[in-house]
Amino acid sequence: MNFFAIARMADNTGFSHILYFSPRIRLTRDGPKLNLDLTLHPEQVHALEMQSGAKVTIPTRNIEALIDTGATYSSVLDEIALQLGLNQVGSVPIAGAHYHQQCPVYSVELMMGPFHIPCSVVGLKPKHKPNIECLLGRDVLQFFTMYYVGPCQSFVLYHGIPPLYERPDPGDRIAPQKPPNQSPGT
Amino acid sequence: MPQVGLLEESRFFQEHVADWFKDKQRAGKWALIKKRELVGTFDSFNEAVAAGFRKFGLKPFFVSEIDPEANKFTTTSLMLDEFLCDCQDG
Repeated sequence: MNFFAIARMADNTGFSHILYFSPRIRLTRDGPKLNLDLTLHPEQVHALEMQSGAKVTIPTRNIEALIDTGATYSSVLDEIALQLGLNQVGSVPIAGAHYHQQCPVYSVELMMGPFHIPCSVVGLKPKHKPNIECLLGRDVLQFFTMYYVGPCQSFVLYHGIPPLYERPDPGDRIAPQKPPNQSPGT
Repeated sequence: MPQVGLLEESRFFQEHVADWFKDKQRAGKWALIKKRELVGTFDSFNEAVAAGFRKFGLKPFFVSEIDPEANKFTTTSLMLDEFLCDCQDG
């Protein structure tokens, strides 16, 4: 995966410590996609090491993920979860217009460049081989800010909130800062 | 349809989540469940998972946020509808 930058952002209070990065998000027919690494949850690695009494080789898989802001949880193909040996930590019903099924939930660690996110993923069992291996839902996207740069036809994904935005009070929506030297209505 | 584990735990969670949510000490926390027992509640998913691995090793255990709206999967991916529509079990 290519990362353009990991940097400190300057603002009017001096250097803040907001890390940002731009993984190459591709706009595809299905929507915005990016590659990330999937591996065992750190606590599962610890449990494996306790059981074996030695360091273990941690299986990792690079997968292509579709960014889906409408998904409550992230999900992967169940066969990938089974290949990696992810531990099941739940079971969730999923329903649509034409289907209803119960799916396993696994503990996992998603690695997007420097960011390691221990979380859970739903294991999906499609009947046909899909061209999506992973949906990145709001349980992971909550840590990032994403925007679409129309003229460049590209996406930018920030870890946290970029300097352009004020941090909201709890319960408030995020409001963009007013640009300097600009009166309302201009 | 393939077997999905932790159904007993999932049912137990659904039966009790509304009551647990009314309890201010538990609402919004994360439940660790094995069989039909609430093993404990924790401040975060990762704390509950850590406790689960400590107590049950590499065996499956159930973790979910104590919120009646939790444990419900939605997606806007239209392709999932197409891929999953042949996997009906209910």
